Amino acid sequence: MNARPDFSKFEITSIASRKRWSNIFLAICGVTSTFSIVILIVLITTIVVSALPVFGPHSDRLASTGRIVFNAQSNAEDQSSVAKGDLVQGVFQPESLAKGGLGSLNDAVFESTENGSPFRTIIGFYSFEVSDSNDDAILEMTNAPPSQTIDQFLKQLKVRSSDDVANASLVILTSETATLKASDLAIDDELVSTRVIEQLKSVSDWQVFLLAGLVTPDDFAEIRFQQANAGNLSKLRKTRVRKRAGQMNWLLSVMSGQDSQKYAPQKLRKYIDDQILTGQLKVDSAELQGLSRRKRKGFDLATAFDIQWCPVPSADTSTIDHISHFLTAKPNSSDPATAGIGPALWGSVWACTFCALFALPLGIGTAVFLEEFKPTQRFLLFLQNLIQLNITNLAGVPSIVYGILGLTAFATMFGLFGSDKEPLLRFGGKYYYQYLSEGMHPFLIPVDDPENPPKLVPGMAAEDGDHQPIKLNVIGVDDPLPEDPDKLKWTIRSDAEGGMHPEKPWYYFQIPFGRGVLAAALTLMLVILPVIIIASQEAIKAVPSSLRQGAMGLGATRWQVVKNVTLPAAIPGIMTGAILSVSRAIGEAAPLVVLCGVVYISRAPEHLMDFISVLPIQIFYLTGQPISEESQINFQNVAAAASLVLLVVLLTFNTVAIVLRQLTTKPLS
Amino acid sequence: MSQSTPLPKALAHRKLKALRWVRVREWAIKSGLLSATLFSILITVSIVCLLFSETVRFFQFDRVTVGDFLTGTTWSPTLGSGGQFGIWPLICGTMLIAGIAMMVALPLGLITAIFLSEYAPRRLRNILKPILEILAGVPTVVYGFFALTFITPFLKNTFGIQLEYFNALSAGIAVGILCIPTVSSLSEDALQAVPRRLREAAYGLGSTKFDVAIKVVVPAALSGIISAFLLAIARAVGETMIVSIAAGATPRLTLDPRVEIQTMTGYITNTAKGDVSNFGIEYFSIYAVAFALFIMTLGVTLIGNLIRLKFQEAYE
Repeated sequence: MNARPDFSKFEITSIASRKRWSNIFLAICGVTSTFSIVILIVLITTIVVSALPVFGPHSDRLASTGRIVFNAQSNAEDQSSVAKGDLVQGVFQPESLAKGGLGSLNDAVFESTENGSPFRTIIGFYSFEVSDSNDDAILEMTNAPPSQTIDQFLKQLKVRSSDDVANASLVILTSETATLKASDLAIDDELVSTRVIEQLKSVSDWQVFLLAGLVTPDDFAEIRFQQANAGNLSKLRKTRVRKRAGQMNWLLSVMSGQDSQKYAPQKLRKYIDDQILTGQLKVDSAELQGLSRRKRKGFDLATAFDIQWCPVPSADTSTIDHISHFLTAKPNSSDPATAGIGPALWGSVWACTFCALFALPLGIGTAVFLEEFKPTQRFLLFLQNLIQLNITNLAGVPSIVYGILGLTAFATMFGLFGSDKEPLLRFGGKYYYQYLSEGMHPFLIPVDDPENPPKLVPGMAAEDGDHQPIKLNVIGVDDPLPEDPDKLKWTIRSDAEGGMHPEKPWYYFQIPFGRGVLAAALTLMLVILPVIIIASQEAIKAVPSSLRQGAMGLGATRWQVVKNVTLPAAIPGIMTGAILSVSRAIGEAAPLVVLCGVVYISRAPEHLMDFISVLPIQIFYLTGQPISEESQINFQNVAAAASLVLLVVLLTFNTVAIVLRQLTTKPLS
Repeated sequence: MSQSTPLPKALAHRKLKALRWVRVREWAIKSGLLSATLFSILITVSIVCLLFSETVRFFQFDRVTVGDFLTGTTWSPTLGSGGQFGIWPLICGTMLIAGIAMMVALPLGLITAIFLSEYAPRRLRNILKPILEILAGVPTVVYGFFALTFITPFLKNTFGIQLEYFNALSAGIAVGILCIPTVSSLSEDALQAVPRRLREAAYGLGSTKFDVAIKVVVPAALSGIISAFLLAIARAVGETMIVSIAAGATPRLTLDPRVEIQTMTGYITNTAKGDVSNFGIEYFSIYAVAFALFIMTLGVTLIGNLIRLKFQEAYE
């Protein structure tokens, strides 16, 4: 196909015209080639400009957090400041909502309630529990037609339950007056009682929060809002929350009726600031059951009412504070101003470290074999060329295909070794069943087999939330409860049902690997392996064969040649290729989107099987979030800031690789 | 006698070991390295087997047939919408994106390669090449974000094109930018491999640099350039994050670049990012789509690599 030039056909034209063409082409060439520089500059500028609000001194990200305040009648005995039956005011910060409900309620501040502040109020507080089938918990709202009314909406709100999942609380908020009693919120067949619907029918201006406290440690619940058709329901977001051992995830989501612009999630704060302060609403109490069920100490089951949001301005903070907050804080699905990328950053570190640990030896070994152990027989040589072609083609396979392979081969292991939830082999985890005592205190009972709940017998070993042994008082199903509050605290009926609660140390291991760190690292290894092999081969090829022959002449075996001559000479080139391919692994999102899903992860991984989110996935998630024209910081800005972090890391890697290559190419050539 | 003869200086520090131990070690190391090499074969085999077997399971559902899959023009996999699985809208979206990308990447990449190889002074080359490498190293999610937040508004405001929020045009342009380094670096390798004597012969006949570059070097390197194009096309077809972010999620059989479309890769991510654990027909459909995608990219890559190897031989 390569055309040898046929010089006889060269036209003879005037030198001037040929020179002119030559110059014009040179100009085109120059302009085109600088295009890549222009694009790079525009790209970086775009990202920096839209990232600036997140870090900038004018940012209000840390200055305008708010609190959710609720009035409650305490049932707590161990709160020294309040007695049982006292009216208290509880406060928790929205960040702690995102962090985990346990902590937030522990942090709750209890104050006197005599303030009469004109807070926005919540007319209904609805909480329910699901505890049946094996499916994930999905709170699902299907497509809502534009003429949606509140009762249609509520009827479409379905709960698919999971392994004893969740407490989810639906908070219905309106600026109009409506009255509800706690008993209205009882669970009936339709999940939402008809009386609630009756009440809300008259309300035209409404808003629904979903407070989901997920309790089963290892399962995750998904709260999924399908995209609404148009009109009434604003952009609804799909969020998935995974529950971690020993901590509770709270999710605050907002849906709304009527004016979708007004109620866009990230506008909540502003909306409350601007409009709600004027509303004087009547509120009846509702059970706050969902909020306190699984916490370890402090505020106990209480009757809460008057749940309110009040913004709290905090002191001005510097740019450094913004940056460090951004790098360490947890992602926040409701408030872009306080969102961070901490867990994703740690996830990237974990995944790429292990990926490099697997990929480097394998890739360099393959390259050494292909370059240094070339067979002499014809057939073997043919095989070797086949392998070579195979590797070159593997480099061209879309990374998403590797994601599908990783999902099947590493995460579920072709379904051969049990499911992710019930793996064939697990090692290192400690398992407990968690119960709620009659005195509303949670406690743990250690078990050997996580599949079988323990049988409750008097005197069995039990621990409280801090793993301190407790004396358990098991009573029969119909026995009267003890009067003594100390005894009541750890009293349990023998038919009580508990939930599994694993605690996994750093060396926890299971087969199949599940959608965790190890599977992610192995999948990334598949992606970068061909790249590493090809780069290492190039580096080894560049070593002059005179060096090898010299060593051979001294009687060195092949491996001795490789170890003492080829590898030391080729290592700079290999390292360059390795750094470049690891930087590719850092930026790779597609295979991990397939493998891990786009989920809400609130902390860094703690063991190799732990759920993981990486920086590119975080960016992918953030770019899909709705935009609000009014607020100063959008999720898009957060995405830009995360991209900036990623770019800085990758540019550092690339620069190191390029400098390394520039420094080391000279001596050998 | 032998004791008194000193070893040559070069061998003085050499450790002499039993030959047998050395042989065993050599054998062990060689088999270790061989198994590492065979791992790459294992990857290919498992990709093919996995995609094939799961695709077969996909076609075992009542609602899909191979014929519908390969010829159908409606892709609506969700249960409520009737569940039609005709892959053409996805292939059409993929082709549209790849086509736009190539319209950007081919001219720019090739001209950059010619400039770098034939014209650029050494100093400029030393700046341009790392920049191209950095452009290649920018993560694709960042390009996706760039397409969504810069390219689309830019095209709308500057050229007044009526674009949807998600559209094929800006996604395609971003994919094209991503492919420029691939095209330029592979084409440049091909141009550089053209023997010096051809250039010198042309100069000897009184050619200008332009004549040499366009009439001699490019035709001589044509197969290398074609292979670069093919590899870039494979990359554009397999590109995932940019299209997931910026091209939307509506499978459409259209060649209008202004509207929202969905590509094969986009469908896979869109389905997989939520919940793929429920083993329904949607779950298996991603394997079928991935299989089609794999065959397409593998074919293009394979042809590209074969042409490239042939080309390398031609001048060796």
